[in-house]
Amino acid sequence: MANLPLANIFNRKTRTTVGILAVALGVALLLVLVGLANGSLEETAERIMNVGADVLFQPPDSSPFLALSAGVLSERLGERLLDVPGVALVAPILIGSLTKVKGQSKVVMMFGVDEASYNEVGVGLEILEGRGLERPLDLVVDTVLAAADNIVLGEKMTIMNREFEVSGICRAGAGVRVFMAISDMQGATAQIGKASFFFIKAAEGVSVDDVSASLKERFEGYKITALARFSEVMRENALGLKEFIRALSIFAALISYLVILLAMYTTIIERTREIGILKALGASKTYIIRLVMVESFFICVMGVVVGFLFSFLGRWGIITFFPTLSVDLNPQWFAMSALLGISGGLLGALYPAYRAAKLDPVEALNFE
Amino acid sequence: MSQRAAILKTVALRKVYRTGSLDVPALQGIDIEIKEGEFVSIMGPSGCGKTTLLQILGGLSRPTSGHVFVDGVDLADVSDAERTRLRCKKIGFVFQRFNLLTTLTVHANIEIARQIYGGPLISHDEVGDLLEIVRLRHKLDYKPLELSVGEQQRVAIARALVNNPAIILADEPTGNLDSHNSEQVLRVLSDLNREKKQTIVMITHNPAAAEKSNRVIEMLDGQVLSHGTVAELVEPEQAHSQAR
Repeated sequence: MANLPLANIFNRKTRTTVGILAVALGVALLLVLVGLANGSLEETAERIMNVGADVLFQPPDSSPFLALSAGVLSERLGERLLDVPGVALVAPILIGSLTKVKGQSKVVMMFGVDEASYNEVGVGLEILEGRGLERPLDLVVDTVLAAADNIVLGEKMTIMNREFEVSGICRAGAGVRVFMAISDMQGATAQIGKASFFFIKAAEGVSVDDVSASLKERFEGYKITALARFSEVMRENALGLKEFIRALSIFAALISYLVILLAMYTTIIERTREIGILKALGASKTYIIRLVMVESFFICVMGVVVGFLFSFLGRWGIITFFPTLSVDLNPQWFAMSALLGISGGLLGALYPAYRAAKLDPVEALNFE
Repeated sequence: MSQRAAILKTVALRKVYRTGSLDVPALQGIDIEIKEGEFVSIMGPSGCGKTTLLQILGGLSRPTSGHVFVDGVDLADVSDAERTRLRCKKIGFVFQRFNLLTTLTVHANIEIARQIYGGPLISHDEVGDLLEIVRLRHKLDYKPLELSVGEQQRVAIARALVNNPAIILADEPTGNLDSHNSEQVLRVLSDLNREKKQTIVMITHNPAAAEKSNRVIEMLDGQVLSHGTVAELVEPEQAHSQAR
């Protein structure tokens, strides 16, 4: 059975290549776009988790998407948090956004931090070049953003109508990509004495669950999240992400379906005479259907493999040219995209296979 | 010969093709009987219904009315699937245009015919033995387009033999061949008829080719005009000149 489909695949190179590339495109699109959506989410969550604190303390009804947080908490709330049993350290954070880098529109989340408490509550700012936030209007950027936008020490950056100076480059991977003193951000945004949330470190020997429970008891209605669960909480709250991924999956399957339908339909017309020969030899309808399906299965499998390669290539391209983006190529999605690519393709081959099986052998043999 | 059973028989066989709103009669009441082991030629001018008759005898096409019996089974009474099965088991086709699968080797062309027939997997040696019958064992791994037309037709005959059919239906098997290749193909068909007792029904325009058969059925306008040996039906001068 495999002989003829394989021979057809290798003898009709253009048709085969187009079929393979189209399935590959669907598979790679799905993997890269889902990877990009999940990757950005995961990478953001991971950086927050890497801060090294134990608990995130936010105002009631806050989103785990920290960029959406407003500075509604009093910075002095930190003192009350320190009174809660099991709380060892507290660091207030005010959130801001950088909307332009070197004149180019860009959205980069910024932390306004009290450097001393921020450094104590977790890994802190690991300065690799220059200094920390020692002077007013000092700015620290991480290595990724510095490399992506060629930001150097001493460079002046106008943010919120104030001229900041890049005083240090810190290790990437924890928190956000741009840091300034909380007092500078409060001043620039007219949110004096305000914080968006607090990072909390539990006292030694006290479990995070116990601290969280104590905080919930004392601050009813406030949003208290153990940072170990932050990634999971973010995924749960990513509104529309599931729908987006579902739409992408349908789109990828549809591409495979339509392309294979067209490719196999053209093939059937092209090979009408061949099908007539097989029927004259005594081939049953099932045999003809199987033949078309096996051929399309091979094309789909090759398309899936090439799609996997394309997705790695796509990830490499995205990471190389847009270093602040992240693409998470998840094994689960490799399986899902393979399933969608192959099932979409097989579904697309069904109608042409049925048409081939229904061909009248005499008419098919006379086909020129 | 009259004591042998009829392996192919038609009764009041009619076939009408519909072209737009026009009915074109191709066969108009054919009654023939072909005995087991006979070598019969069907002759007649183009468009007289020879190929249509062969296709109906082989179960490739259904008659508009009448009956076709293949080894006692009336094809009019069986489903498409059963007709296909019967064709697989009892009949081998040889076409004027060879109809080999050009993407496959000679070996694979024979192998796929066995697959379709549903018999046990064919071994390399068995394929070689089939090709030996048509004296092409050495061309096992060639693709059809690498062979001469005569060789292609001989491969098509070998393929038709893969299910060891009781009946071989050949539609102008020498129509595209020169005299040398025609002679070889006809010799193979004659040998099969003589040695393996296979029933052969061959369409031909060539009286010299028809001379190889035991009997000739002459057709005209969708009807059987006459039966007989080639010597009885064709003027000796005509046979001689066409053979040249």
